[in-house]
Amino acid sequence: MSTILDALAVRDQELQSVRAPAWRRGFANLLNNEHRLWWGTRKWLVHLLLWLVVLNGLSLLIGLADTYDATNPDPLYDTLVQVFFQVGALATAVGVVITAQGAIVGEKQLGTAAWILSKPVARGAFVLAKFVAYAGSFLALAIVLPGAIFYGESLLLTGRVPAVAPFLAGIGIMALHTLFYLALTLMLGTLFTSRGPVSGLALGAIFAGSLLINLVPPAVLLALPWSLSASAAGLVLGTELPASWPVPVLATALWTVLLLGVALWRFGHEEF
Amino acid sequence: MSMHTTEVIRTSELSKSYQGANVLHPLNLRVARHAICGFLGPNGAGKSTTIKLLLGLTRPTGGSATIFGKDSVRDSVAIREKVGYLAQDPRYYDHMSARETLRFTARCFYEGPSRAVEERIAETLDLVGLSAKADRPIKGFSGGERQRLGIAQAQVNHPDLLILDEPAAALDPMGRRDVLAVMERLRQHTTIFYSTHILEDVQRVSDSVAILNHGQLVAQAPIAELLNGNGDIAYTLTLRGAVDAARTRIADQPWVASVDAEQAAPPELRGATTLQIRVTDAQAAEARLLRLVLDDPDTTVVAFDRTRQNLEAIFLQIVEGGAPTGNPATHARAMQAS
Repeated sequence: MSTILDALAVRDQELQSVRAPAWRRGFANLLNNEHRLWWGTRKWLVHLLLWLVVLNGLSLLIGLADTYDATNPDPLYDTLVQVFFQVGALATAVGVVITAQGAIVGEKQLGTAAWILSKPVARGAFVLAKFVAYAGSFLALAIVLPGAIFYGESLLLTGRVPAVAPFLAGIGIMALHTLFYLALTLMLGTLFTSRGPVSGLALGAIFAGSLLINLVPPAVLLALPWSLSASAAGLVLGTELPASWPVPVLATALWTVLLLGVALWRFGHEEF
Repeated sequence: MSMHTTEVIRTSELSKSYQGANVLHPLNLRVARHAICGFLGPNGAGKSTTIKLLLGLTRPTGGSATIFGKDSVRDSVAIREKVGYLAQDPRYYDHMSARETLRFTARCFYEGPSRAVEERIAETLDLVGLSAKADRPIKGFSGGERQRLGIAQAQVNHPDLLILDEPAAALDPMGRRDVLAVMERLRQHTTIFYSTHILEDVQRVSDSVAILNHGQLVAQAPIAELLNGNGDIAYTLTLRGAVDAARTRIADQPWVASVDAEQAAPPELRGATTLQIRVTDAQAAEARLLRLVLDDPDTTVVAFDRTRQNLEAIFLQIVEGGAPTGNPATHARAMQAS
């Protein structure tokens, strides 16, 4: 009997309390759980197929269409880059909103958020784990992999490939554009208790950008993410961009941090 | 050891209001170490709100609460390291199995080798009798199995305090029995604070009780003290035959305070009369009360028992605003507390 008790005591000594600062207590466990939901289920495969079809499939269709002069691949190359970055930015923004709309609201509605937060888990860790997992997984499946395939597609269809540095810069801008809408969606998830307003407002912001971009004063546009896709395509194509093109990039990065800050603050005050 | 160090839960004027409506009036609650404290009250009394305040899931409008001497708002994460909690309507990730749920829960508390974590999980599954279903998705679990999983996830960190919100609600009698059995097994290791409206369960396993009504603490006492009522000793005597004469004979005794008569209710006692006899001297009553009646050949004793206070009756009296049945000291403590 004493041997069993000794063994249990040794086992319990091996179990050390999680050592992490209070503000991110539980982050690693929550992140693992989120990653398991992305990569341990068929979710990754569904997203991968979806984005390959939407982004690379569209490029392939355009490339195989019989409307371009085979002896002059430049117009096709320009079109492919424009479509990949401009349509791609819009599509991935819509995709990330639809994918993340229930990330926080869903857990609040189901009661799993209250369950998790009854454990020694920081509220900030809950939001940050969502952001990091969604950002990493979504960007990998919807931007990085399709981007790499697009690079090969471009060579195959036009015989040309973008210069690496501008292409990576363009992909980076597209990723930042997506992160902005991810942060916006998560922030809205901390403010509302149902998915309707979350997806409605986030999608509204995306489509407002598409519809109002020519109506908004240029000075205001500098503080918004709506011109990012054009900048990304312009960088990759090497076209002349206005000198102020980095301003919306910085502004979007700041907005993303600010939206995350609001999400952390609001979720910290959530009543369950 | 001072009083405070033996208290696991202590609230001071803890209150909560939503949009101006008070759901919890200033509450002064004490729960001693290693107690099983039943937290009673009708639906909407504020029990779940109190529990959420203790766990930091909700912020108080006023006052404060300490658990293990730590503030429920400032030190909430540190408190939750030593607490296990089962919600009234527990929700988990349905795609997970019981083992995965416990693994996820355990990793909220512990680092260290997987083997040690897995052993703790296996031991906890065994405790609640879910070992055979450990690897099935919990979306197929029955209500009783979900509740047992709830206790398992609350217990996986071997907490110093278990807070259970209606642990036996919505369970069939066997499920209730199982949950109470688990609670009794855990009582030697931990303090248990649990809300319920099943008074029979409280009387069976609790050693102290706090009663909340309309957000106010209306009684708080060890259960034995509450069941002792106002200190009266009473007997129930059911008779047939010359009941009036027997009643007069009993009432004439100097150690008898009062005798009330009523028709016996159970069908098998039809025609019999039940006397409720309050006495001032239990020894004299036990030695002579029954003999007074048995000596009379015209009277037949159908039943005789010392009257036991019933928690349900006490609860209803307190909650429905009747005269307090509890010991005056208990009630005074409760009133002071509320």
